[in-house]
Parts: sequence; C-alpha cells; structure tokens
Amino acid sequence: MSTMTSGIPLLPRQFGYELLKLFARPRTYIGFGLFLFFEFLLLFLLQLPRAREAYRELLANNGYLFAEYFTGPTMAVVIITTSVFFLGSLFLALVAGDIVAKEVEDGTMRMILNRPVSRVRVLFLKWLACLVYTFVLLGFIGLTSLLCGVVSRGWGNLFVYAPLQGVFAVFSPGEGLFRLALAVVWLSLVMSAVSSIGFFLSCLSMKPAAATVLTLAFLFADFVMNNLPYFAGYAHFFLTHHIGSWALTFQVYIPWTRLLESLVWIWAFNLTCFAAGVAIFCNRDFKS
Amino acid sequence: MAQIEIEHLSKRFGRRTAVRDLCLEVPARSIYGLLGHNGAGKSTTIGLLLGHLSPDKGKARIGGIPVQRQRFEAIRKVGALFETPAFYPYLSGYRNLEIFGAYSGKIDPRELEEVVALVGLEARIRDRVGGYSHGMRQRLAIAQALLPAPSVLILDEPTDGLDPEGIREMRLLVQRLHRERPLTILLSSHLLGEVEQLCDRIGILHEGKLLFSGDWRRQAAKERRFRFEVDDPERCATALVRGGLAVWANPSGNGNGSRGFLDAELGKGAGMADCVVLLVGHGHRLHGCTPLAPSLEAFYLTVVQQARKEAAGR
Repeated sequence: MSTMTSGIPLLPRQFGYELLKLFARPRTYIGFGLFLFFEFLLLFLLQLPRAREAYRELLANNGYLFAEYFTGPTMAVVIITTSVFFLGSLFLALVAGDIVAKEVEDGTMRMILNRPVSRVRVLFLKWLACLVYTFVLLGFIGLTSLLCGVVSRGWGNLFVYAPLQGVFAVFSPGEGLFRLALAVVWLSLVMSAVSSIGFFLSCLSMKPAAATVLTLAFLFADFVMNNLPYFAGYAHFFLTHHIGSWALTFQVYIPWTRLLESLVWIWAFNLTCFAAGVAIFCNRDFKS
Repeated sequence: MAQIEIEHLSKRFGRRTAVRDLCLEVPARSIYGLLGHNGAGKSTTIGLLLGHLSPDKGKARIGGIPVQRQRFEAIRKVGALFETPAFYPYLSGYRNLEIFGAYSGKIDPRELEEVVALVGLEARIRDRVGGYSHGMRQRLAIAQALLPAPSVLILDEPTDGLDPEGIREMRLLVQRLHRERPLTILLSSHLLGEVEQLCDRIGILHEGKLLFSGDWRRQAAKERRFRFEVDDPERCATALVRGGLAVWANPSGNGNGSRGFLDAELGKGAGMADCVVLLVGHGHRLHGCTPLAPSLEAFYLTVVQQARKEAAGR
C-alpha cells in the first residue's frame, strides 16, 4: 500500500491531494487538449497564402525581411496573443468555477467538512490549486506554442506586433526567447485574476456552470468597457487593462513601473476575491 | 456520561422550522437511534452537530466540547457518514480514504489497511470508485468515517438504497464496530426494523420536535398491549375503547364478523381480566388472549399518532 505522503507535514500533504484531485480529473485537461488543437489550427491558417502575404507586407513596410522574422518564436507570440485572453480565460474560468461549486454539488465538500478542518484552510488550498493550474496551463500554452512554431518555421528572430498595447519590436533569437519566457510568466501572474474571479463565484451558492459563465460575462463586459473610447480616462480601473500589461514585456525598454503597478493591482484584486469568497463560504449553511 | 448533548437547539430555514427547541443526550458507548419520517429534522440535527449548519438558538456538545465554539476540538474524534456519501470517482478507493483522512491529520497506513479489511473492501480498494456498487460506496463511507479511530460515529441513513443483503451486512458491521471498539454511535434511520435490532435508546423526531428520547423497550413495556383472538374484531375494538379499558385498539381480520385478531393497549387500571369480562358480557366469543411483545414500529406509530392528534386538537 502507498505510503508516499506519510512523512509530509499536514498542509503540504493536503495541498498535494488538492492538486491530485484537480489534475487526476479528466475535464481539467479539456483546456490543454483544445489549446493544442487551436495551435495546430492557427499554424495551418498562418501558412495560407493570404495570411503569409499580409505578414510579409507588415514586415516589409517596416523594413524587415519576411524570411528572417516569420520564425518559430514570432509564430508562438502570434498564437499566444490571439488565443490566450479568450480561450485561456474560458478554461481558467471552467476550472476555477468548478473548484468549490462542483465539490459542493457532488457532496464531497460535505464529506470534507465532516472533518476537523477549517473552511478557510479548505478554501485556501483550493485557491492555491487554482493558481497552480493557471501557471501550468499558461506554461503549457507558452511551451507548446513555441514548439509548434519552431517545428513549423524553425528557430530565429522574434517580431512582436501588439497594437492594443502599442508594442512593435524585434529581438535577436536569444533576447526573443528571454522576452517570450518573461511574457509567459507575467501572463500567468496577471491571468490569475480570471481564476480568482472564478474561485470567488464558485464559493457562492450556485452551480459550477453558472460560476464559469458569470466569470466570463464579467471579464468580457470589462473588456468591452475597457476598449470603449469614452472610458479611456478610467482604463486603470478595468481588470483587462491590467491583464493586457503582459504584452508590455515585449516593449524594447520594459516599463517595469507600469508592469509592477498592474501586478499589484491584480494581486490586490486576487486577494479581495479570495477574502470575499471565504467570508461568504464560511457563513453558508450546508444542507442538501 | 453523555457523549453527545444537545440543549434547546433550534434551526429555521426561511419560514420553516426544521428543529425546534431540541434537547437530547446520547450516553457514551451506546447505539442511539434517531427516528423520524422524511423532513422530521434528523439530518438538520446531524448537520448542526457536525457544524455544517449554524443554529438559531441552543448549543450542542460532543465529548463535553461545545461544537459551535470549538468545532475542531469537538469533532476531532467524530467519524461521520452524513447524507449520501460522495467520493472522487476518478480516484481509487484507497486514494479517496487517504484524501479524506488527510483532513483529520496524519493517517497511519496500517490503520487505513485495517479499516479497509474491516469493511471488507480489500479486493477492490485499488479500483476507481466510479466502478463501485452502491453497497461498496456505503462501506467505503463507513471506512472513511473510521479514520482516524473516532470515539463517536454518526451514521445518517447508512442503509439508504441498499438491498436486503446490504442492509443486513451494514447492521452486522455496526454491531461489530460497537462490540469491538469503544464507540458511541448515533444512527439516523427510518428503517424501524434495523433500528429495533441495533438500538436500545432512541429519539423520535416529528416536525422538528423531539417526541420521545430514552429506552423505548422500557417505555413500551409500561404500555400493556394484548392480542385478543375474537369473532368480529371490529365490534370488540369498539366495545373495549367505549368501555374505557383500551387506549387504542387495532382490529384485523376478514370483516363480516368473522374470526380475527384485535391488538389493544390497555388504559390505566385496566387488566386483561376486565377486558375478558367486558367482551364476554357483551356477547362476544373470545378464543384466546396473549400479551404482545413490544415492537418499535408500534411504539413509534403510537408516539407519532399521538403527536398528530394533539396537533389536530389545538
């Protein structure tokens, strides 16, 4: 019989089991599978003559050679910028919306709460698991995007064009890889806000699907308002404005102050979501 | 000494009172049966005991420790099967036990294996729970409740959904646990036959109120019940009740004045001989009379019907 975890202190052991529950569940991998599919699809579409021509034109207009900059790292960034906000949010919301609400719905939360464990601890472990999932999913997206890009177009310089964030830059292969890695880490840190919203809603008395849908609704409403010209003066109040800061890691001179400002904002938001979720969950009556 | 104490506990859900001023004591090392129909307040009571629900009034103590103020300490030695047991179906039974056990502290793998053997799941414990039958899940639920060695075991409808063989196995398991371990068991059920075989002390809940708590056999023995074998049991029943000798009388037979049985509970001061004299005096043919052994079903129904009558009279 397994004694794998018998020597580990209690909190890490409980956290280990929380991760096991999350990563042993088949639906956790929907996001990974669909992202891989989307990456292949995008790679295929980017090889179509008109798409290549548009990219060639964009590079040529700025004095760069298509052959030198239409590379694996460039394609990785294209894949990430076009997919991560909408698709990534969907899968983060799906998992975070499930994390508490699904256990309540299935009855396993009741089994856990039969034990001498505080609700705060249970939620803390679940929130941490959500954050780990965020890092794992975004790390996976970053790595597979790069792999797909390199397999398809080979290694080389990096060209980044992110008009929403006003980024237009080129990097040597080494610097490009560093920027890509930094972008993925930063993306994980800011996308944790999506998981935190999902977690908060999951703590309320609602079905897991409702928590997922509401998370996405909140996010998309925020995105729309953030992009309306009337609210340009209030951009720093919108979550998606701060989430979008990850693309700034590709600016030639990284605006660290702006990045840190967004990071602090996002993590204050995360902690607020966690605290509010805990406050509500701890005062809930559990009755089937 | 009482292991579980409930004092004036009340809980409302919206406008419905689920538990009303409940006072209850479960003696240490007893098997206490909590009886009541669906919605009587059994699960709410257990939910309050485990801290799943916050009471509007009153308090509960387990092992002398107040649940509402010191939940950790109070339920540290409590194992519970509360409502339908749920597991992670994509994990093995063993892994499920490890996960739930980890929330109570460090579980010794030997203890885990011992509990698995006790509930008879050794052969399937490495299989995914998704492939378990309902009975196996119930046994796994008992196993998780026994980790780590509790002194109080709370079982909410442990035989729910089991087939007759499963019900028997569960009863034998509870009896074995009580015999072999120093356990106080609070068992909630509406299977009166099972409770009758397991429990001496019971509590009867009806619409959130405790109607009876104590040794039901002792109480039932005070209520003298007899079975009369007579011609025309219906008319005999009327005669006994009108004559003031029986508190209640329940005739059974084919009707039309044919021979049948009449179960009756005698009133204060009335004896069997008085009944015989009355029935014969009214011209009824009496073929036999035997004292009735107390049955929990009869006791439960009497208590609940009495409460209903009182409620209707108000």
